[in-house]
Amino acid sequence: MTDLSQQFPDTVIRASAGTGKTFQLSNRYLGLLHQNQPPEQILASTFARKAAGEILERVMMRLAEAAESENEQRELEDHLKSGPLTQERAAILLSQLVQHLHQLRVGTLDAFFVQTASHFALEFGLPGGWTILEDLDDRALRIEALRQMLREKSKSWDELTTLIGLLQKGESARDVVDSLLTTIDDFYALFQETEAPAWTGQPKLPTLSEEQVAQQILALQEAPLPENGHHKNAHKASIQYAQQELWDNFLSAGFPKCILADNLVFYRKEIEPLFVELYEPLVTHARGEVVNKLLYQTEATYRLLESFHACYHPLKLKRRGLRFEDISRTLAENLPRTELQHIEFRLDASLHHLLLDEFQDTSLLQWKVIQLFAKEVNRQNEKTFFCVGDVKQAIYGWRGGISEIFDKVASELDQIQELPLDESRRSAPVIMEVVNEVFGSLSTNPALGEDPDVQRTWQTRFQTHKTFHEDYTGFVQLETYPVDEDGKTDKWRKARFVAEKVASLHREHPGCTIGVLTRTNQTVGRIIHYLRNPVAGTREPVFASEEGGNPLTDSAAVIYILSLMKLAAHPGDLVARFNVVHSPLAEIVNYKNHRSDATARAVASQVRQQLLQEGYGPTIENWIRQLAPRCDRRELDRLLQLVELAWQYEERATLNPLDFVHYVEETKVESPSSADVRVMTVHQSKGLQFDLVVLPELDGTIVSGRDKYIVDRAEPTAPVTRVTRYFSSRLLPLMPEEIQIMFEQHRSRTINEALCLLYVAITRAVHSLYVITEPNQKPESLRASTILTNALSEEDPEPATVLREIGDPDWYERHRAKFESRTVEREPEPAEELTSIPLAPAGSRRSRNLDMIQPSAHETGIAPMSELLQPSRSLERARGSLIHAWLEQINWLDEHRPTEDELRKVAGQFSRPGLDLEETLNWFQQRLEIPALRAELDSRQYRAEVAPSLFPDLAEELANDEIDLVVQRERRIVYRTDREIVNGIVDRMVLYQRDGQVIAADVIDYKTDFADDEASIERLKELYRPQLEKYDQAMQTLYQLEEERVVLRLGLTSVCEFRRL
Amino acid sequence: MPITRTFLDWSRPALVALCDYLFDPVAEHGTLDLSDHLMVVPGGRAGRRLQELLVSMADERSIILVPPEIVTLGAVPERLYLQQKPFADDLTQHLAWIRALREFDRDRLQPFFPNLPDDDSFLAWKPFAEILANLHRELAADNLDFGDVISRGSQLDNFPEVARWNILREIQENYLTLLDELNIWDRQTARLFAIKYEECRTDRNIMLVGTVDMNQTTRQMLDQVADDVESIVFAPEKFSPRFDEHGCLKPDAWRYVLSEIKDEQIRIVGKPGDQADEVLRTLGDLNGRYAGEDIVVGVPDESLVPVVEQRLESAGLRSRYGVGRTIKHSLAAKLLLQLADWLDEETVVAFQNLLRHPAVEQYLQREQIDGDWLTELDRYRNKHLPVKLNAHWLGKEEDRQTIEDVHEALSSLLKDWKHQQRLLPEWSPALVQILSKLFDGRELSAAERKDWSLITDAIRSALQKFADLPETLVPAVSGADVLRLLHSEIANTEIPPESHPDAIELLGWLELPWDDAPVLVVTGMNEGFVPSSQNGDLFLPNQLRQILDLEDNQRRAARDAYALSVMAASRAEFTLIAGQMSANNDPLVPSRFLFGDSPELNVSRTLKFFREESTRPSSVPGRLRAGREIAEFSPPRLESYATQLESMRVTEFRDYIQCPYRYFLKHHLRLKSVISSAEELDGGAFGNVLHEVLERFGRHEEIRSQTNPEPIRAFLNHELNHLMEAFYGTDPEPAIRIQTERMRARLSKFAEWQAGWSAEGWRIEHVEEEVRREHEAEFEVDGTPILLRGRIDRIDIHQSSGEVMVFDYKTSDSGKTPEKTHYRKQKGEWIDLQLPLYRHLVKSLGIQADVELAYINLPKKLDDVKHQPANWDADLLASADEKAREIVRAIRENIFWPPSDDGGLMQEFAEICLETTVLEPDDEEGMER
Repeated sequence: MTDLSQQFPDTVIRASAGTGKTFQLSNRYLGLLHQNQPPEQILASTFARKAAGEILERVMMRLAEAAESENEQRELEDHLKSGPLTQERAAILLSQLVQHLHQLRVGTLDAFFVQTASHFALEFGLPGGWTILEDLDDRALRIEALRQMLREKSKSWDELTTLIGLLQKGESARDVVDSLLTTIDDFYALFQETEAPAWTGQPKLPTLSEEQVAQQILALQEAPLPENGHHKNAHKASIQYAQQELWDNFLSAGFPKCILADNLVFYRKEIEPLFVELYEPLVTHARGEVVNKLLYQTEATYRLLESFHACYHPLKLKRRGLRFEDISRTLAENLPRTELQHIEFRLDASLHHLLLDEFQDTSLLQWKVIQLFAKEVNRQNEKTFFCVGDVKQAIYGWRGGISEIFDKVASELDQIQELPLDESRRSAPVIMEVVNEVFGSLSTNPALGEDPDVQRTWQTRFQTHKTFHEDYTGFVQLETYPVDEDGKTDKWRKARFVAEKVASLHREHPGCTIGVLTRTNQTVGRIIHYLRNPVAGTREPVFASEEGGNPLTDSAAVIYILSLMKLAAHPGDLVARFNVVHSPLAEIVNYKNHRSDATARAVASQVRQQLLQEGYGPTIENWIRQLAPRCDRRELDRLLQLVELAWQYEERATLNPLDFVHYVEETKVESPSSADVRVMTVHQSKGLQFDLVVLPELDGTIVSGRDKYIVDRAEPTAPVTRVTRYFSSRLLPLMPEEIQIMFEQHRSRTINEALCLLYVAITRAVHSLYVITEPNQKPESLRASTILTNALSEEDPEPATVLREIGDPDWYERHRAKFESRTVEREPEPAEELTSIPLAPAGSRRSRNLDMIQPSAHETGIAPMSELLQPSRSLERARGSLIHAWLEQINWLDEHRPTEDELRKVAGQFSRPGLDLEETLNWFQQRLEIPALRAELDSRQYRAEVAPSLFPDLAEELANDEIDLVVQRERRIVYRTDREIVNGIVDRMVLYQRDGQVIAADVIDYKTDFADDEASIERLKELYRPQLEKYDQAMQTLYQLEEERVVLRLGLTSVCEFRRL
Repeated sequence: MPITRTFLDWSRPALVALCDYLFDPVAEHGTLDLSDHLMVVPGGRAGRRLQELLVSMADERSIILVPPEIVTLGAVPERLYLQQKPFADDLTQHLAWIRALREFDRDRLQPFFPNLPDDDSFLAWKPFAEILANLHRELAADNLDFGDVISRGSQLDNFPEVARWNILREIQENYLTLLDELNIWDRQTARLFAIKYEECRTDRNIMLVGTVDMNQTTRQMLDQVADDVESIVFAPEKFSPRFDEHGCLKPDAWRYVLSEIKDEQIRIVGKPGDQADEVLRTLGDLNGRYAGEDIVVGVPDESLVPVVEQRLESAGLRSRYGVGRTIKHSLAAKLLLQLADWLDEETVVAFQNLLRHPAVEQYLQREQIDGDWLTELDRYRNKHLPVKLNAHWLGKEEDRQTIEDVHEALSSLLKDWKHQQRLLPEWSPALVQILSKLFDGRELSAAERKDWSLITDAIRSALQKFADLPETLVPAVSGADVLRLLHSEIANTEIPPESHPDAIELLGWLELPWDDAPVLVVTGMNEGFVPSSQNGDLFLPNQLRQILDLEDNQRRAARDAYALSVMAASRAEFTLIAGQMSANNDPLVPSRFLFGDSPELNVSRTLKFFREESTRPSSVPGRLRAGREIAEFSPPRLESYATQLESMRVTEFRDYIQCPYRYFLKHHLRLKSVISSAEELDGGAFGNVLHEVLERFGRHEEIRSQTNPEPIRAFLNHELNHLMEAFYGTDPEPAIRIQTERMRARLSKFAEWQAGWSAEGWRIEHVEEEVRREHEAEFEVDGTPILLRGRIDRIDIHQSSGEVMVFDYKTSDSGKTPEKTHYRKQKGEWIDLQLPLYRHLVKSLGIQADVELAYINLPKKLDDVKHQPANWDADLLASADEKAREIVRAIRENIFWPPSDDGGLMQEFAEICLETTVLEPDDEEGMER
């Protein structure tokens, strides 16, 4: 075995933003290929699908470029540092890669997990044929599970109401389902990674009994009132709180507050010892009440989740729908019990090399799975490990990402080499300057004054950033929003301000990409709205693209169509009716008066039927054709996307058009424009870069108190050992010490992640950065905006003020050529007239896709269902088929009569319980003795008796043996007309040949239907006439026969008669 | 003698070359008698096309054609032996597998099948049976049983699955024994038997047409009749070493495409829609040289079919997908599932959906049930929130008569279906009956009429299948399950697409080599689709497949390389399109075949695919064009609806302040949405119940003056129970029961407050006083009075001081003060005028004194259940009056434009206002992820 570990030591790279993580990873990949490592043994994974695509593309391109250019080849050789790499070698490596494309393992971690799980689905207890559950379906499933859970739990009503009472802190809120669902959404993921004791194991604090409380209050009441006025009032208030059991209020004021803080001075006067003594038991009790309430609420949350899980999980299995986290969990639980060799067998590959990108976003569950492979490759010399990440960009904590895993890798694996990477290959020096100023000075930033831990952490993790592009110019501007006369500004005004700013930046920097990065999707929507809708006449609309997309309901034309869908589903919906009547669709569906119930019903019924029969896609497509003339480009693009969505929807279409409305409302569709301006959340911008970045929304408080829970782990990468629902920081002093520590750790994590987000936001910029913040914020206030302004500006943040400008405001000039060349390339094509696609006219006679007609397939028409669905009796049918098969054995009886043995063999496939073979065989043999039948099947009798009766004009020639009689059994007939091909099988045909040429034909179709009188025989004749007439036509066409030279007959086995049609 | 191989050059389309081969020796007006031929084609579509070509060529050349029998490769084995026992159909096989599984020792199965169902529900077991049946089918096709996997697998180093396959082997043995006992067998077993006992015979000339990839079973059977077999191979003779003695591909020899593919024939684009657009551009480039029927679009990735169909249709081009639709989407199939859903739990939602089925709608009409049942049901549902519909009807009879009738009509249809299990075939009469009732007499649309016989045939043959099941295997199933089973039996029946001379045909990958249209555009030329490959598997990973000689990646790649070689060599116009991204944004790589067969080509193609900017125009011919520079969609102006303003409710003013436009929609046009999916009381319903209880309390002369909370509480409780039962029945959903308890808790606190209030000397004087015309409260605006209307929840008078307190009950969770809900202090704006205007209303009740205005809040925080007086001084109240006058003036002047950005509480009008931006109350502090 090669000792690859020397050449490719197991490595962790800590790469700052824009420093080329993917480049490093591709270096490792290429190096391994160069060392003849089979590509199928290399797992290269990341989190985003797009990034996964880029890895492979980068690997292939670098090889191709090296093969093409000597410079690139030398550069690649330098980077790989694994021996000489000629251009020819690069080409060969590329060829090998191409030959193994189907075996490559370059993709997302989720994809790898899904694949692995599907290969072990049975053993791991996954439902057969499972698929990944989409959000919309999962939502419906959760509601169903919750409803089921409530029904089950309501059997013990008191327990249920107590549980819900605890969850809602004794309040009597109106909504039940939504609030429970919110709790479930907030906590379910956590529930799944924890055990019950984590939620229920926290010891309760001591409290007094009711009696004791009453006694203590009495004692307080009976005590002489304090002399000091403040003390007296406070004392009275405290007694009242205690009587009302408002323990939270009790502890927040007066003597109890002082006693709790161990500071026995109230209004600069010491509290009398008597009161300290009297209050202490109640303070302890109050604290217990407050803390225990939280603990009970946490326990109740667990019980809710447990009951929910008991309904939800089986439901998911039943519907065969799983979430990605279910897959990770299943693997984490089961894979460690499976031998690696076995895993590799099912996966069809042994993984020798792991290359993991964006490692800081790995969740604990994912790590549990990956760890198995990581330890294995780390253990063996011929296998390698490589991961790259940046804890400064760990912004997926909310999704379970634990950046500490990245730190831990080095300690969990042996002999790991750790490398830093801090030279940006993206940004201009001025951007790096800002990054260094902000993140290099966090230890003195007043906003973080209360969080020395966070400051320390960043002091160690942040290295001064440099840039490779020293020649790039750029500009940074920090300004505040303007305010209205009240000194305030609201979200709408801010959005308009940002939109105008972006529009002018766009105008002034042609060819530049602009990223407007927000915190919330709602802000994205608002900014897009104003970019698109300027105040009339002030400027051109700016069509920005929305990363990740918004639902199509951002288009007016789409809204009209959805109104029509609502009307179709609910004809009584007056709002939808009114909207349809006033939309361009009114003409299309002919609905003009919203007050008319009858028309609404008729329109609804017609639309529903159309959607069901023609499909959602074609129906909407049809409407859109008529809407297009009233649309602009964007509206039409959105409509066309709606059509696409509708076609995709078809597979899941229900009878209720409202389900489609929900589907559209819930599905995000990216705006189709490839606009220079893109608006998105910072999270969505990860991995992207823009020439200009605008950050308009850095003002939210970082520790917002909106978190749902705090957790404790022995260490960041260990399982959760304790859970508490989140509580107000006001209550922190009351909490047991361990919970206080959890709370502080949680706060640090939250701030850390916010700093990561700020770091990601700033480092997206290549040349230029514009930050707009709210004015008048205190430097100590913990917000991303204050962290930034504290670091960059000493100005007071007055409204509408530029606080700082760094760099060259005319930076664009220097790079103008580059950007202008882009605008030329991207210049949209001039609007052109609709060009149709011309086709040559179809030929007069079709040559393809002719209809295939089988004469025996009788037209069912629209006969009653009861008739159409009557299954012919199984035995009769089997018997009929058997008799056909036997008759088919007979050419001429006088030539060969099938032996009993032969007949029995044929019968094998038709045997079934109830079909009496002996009886049928006897019946058949007897039938063959009946003269009428024998006359038909015996060549001599046929020639002498039957043939002359069919064709009297040939009697003489027949008698003189001048005509040959050739029997064809199961004879195929095929001929074409203009539009169709007729294709059938004739049971028996006697061809009359004179000198080898067919001069007449007797066409016989056996029928085993029961018919015992003339009337029923006539009925059968009529029934089968159309079929036989097709044969008639065929014979005339094929053999150029006159009409009278083709005889059509039914061979009626039940009466042993052959009847001419 | 081995099979005869005949090579026909691939420079012409394969089947055309074959027809020439067959017809060339026959003179004009002669006969081509192929009646003794069995022609074996790779797929059904190739067979149809061959027949079409044979007939057309006979027609053109004036030759009498006695046609051959044409079968697909899968059907040829049954032509070679005499079937001695009946075959078990799929359903029977699945039942037999289920039996074999269920009778197996569960403990031994546990490690391999930990999730087997606990009950005997057929549908729950079916997925497991399907897995085993497919495995059995695939292995048997290559003449292998489960035991062979163990013996051959042991050739691998440390084959880790012996235990598992041993169990499977035993199950398979049990399965086969079971079939034996029933004197039936499955197709695979019959074939193996025929091979083993050398029973294969034929009296035909068997012609294998392009069957370049055959399984072992077929090969062995053909070997037994080799003298009569001719294999037609479409390739230049020089490539004969690349084919084996059966005319099949030697996988090693087909790692590359052997016909030239030029750079300009390859297009790399982005998403699925871009691939479809590229198809349009390619067709546009043909400049009308070809007719629709000369063009085929290949779609190896089936998920692209709808996208391509849609874009073609959008460009005005007719298309025809070879596979066509399936019955799954037919009305009949949808009805089966909807009936099953309704039978399951009788939920309102299932019932509503059932009513939307056209067949049901028409059935009800035929039954003379008339009415707007969908709307009535919406109303009933919104009012009474039933989750299920059963005999316990709520509310007034006249409000629900139609839906009761409708419900009765449908329930009686299904009365024998509920809550019972029957043996599968015993359901058939009931199935026939219900389908007859719902479909007989129905007017079929043209589209339905066309497919009708296929649908009824499929149903009939499924029923036949049920009837033919061996008695010992017949399962007992519920009504809902039989409907689902019938659905699954018929769902995949294909409805052949309509043929049309202009239609551009869409074909799947496997059919493409056997087509002969001169223009071929293939989409989805991405790795994974062409060639298809499979790495890893639940049972048969690739390395095991190799050992077992099953179809593996190498064989698949060879087959696809050959197919592409045939296409590239034989088409006049040939274009290959690959995407960079799938519909769900997974990255895609171009097919390895597009990279070529040499390192040099690999390099140049890689650079082309990943570096080159597209030189294709961005416009797409045939794509719809927008008619305007800027669309002018806007909410309708309302002037034409405007009427004389005579009166206003005091609560209307708030809505006008919020949005004049929406105000008009709500109060003048009285638009209202009936759509709701609520399963518990919303704010309005919750408030209504509490208001109603409190009104009854206020009207009860004895109770309302109590100073002891207990009787008040008891009264409120009683009234609450009574009302809730009347509205929501005796057994409402738990969520509603919980809400009842929450109302009870609020009322209980109210009782305490009320008792204390009475004790302070206050007495209720008026309750829910609707101030109507008879007590007109006129309010003058610019000299013209306007009639104010309103309903005052309650007016109390202090027994000793004579003070008057006008109350409005507020039941929202928040419990805001009147100041907060009426007046925006910072901006000095009134946002609601309800309480201030009560001052004028009370005058019509004869109250002339100054009044206090207050809320009685019943919020979620029980400690806050109490009254909240409004502390407005006279000046402020006067400004409220002025605001009201402003509004009246504006309404009189018909000012309702423009709609405001934010609809506030009037969200239901969002669609009319064309709210295209996400406007829901946002979570400013919550970080968006």
